[in-house]
Amino acid sequence: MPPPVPVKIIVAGGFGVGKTTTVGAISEISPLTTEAEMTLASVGVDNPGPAFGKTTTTIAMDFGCVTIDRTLKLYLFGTPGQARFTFMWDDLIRGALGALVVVDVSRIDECYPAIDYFERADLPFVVGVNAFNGRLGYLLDEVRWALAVRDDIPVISFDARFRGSVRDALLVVLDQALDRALKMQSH
Amino acid sequence: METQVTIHPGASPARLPPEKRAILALCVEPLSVAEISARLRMHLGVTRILVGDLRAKGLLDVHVLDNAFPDPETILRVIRGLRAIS
Repeated sequence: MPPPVPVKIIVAGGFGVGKTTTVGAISEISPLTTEAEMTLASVGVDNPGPAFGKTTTTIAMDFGCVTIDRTLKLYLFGTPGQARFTFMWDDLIRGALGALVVVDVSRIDECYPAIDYFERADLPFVVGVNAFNGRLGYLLDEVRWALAVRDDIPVISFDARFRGSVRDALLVVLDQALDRALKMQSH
Repeated sequence: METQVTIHPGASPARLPPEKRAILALCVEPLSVAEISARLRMHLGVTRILVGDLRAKGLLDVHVLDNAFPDPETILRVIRGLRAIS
């Protein structure tokens, strides 16, 4: 019996916006954390020639899983929050369906790097404003304006604590992904 | 990181060091590299290396997929599956 096909959605956003809560609300397993060691090369200004100093740092990524059926599993990977690690997302997003960029209105500028990144990466994504009970209709336009989100990117509100709300947010991402897949198919 | 890993039929953990034994034990059911790393509390890089070793020895099957964007049918299945979650 062949193993299940994995698909993945990225849950992105700045530090502390609710990525883990989002993953945890819908994952059938408690969010697991995998740690990756990153080597950051730093150049000493006074060093002659190729004398690079290296520091390693450990980045933790939370992730979860939803089994669709025995042949299909949906993984949700939370990106490391720090903006300076956006370059490592290239690895993470390869083959991904899309991303949910989680926004906390009290810290709106934390998600600029993620939005920048996904626009350039050309991955279907949705901006999800994390709000209690998703009660933020009137603010969504302001968020869209403040973040300068392209018109074709959905900006929605959701409550990261509740499974139904997270599910609905992910369905918007999947809608975008389906659009993309259909366009690709017709070319 | 989501690549599925399974134990190769008939693979035996005999004469393997503890970490590799543990990986084989986990992969009785298909598991992603990320899950192996998280459950065994090993760094992702280290996990990849060990999985690679075990694959080279014929003890693990690593089911690599191409990185193509998923097709519409697959996405529809995910949509239907998610909608069924209450």
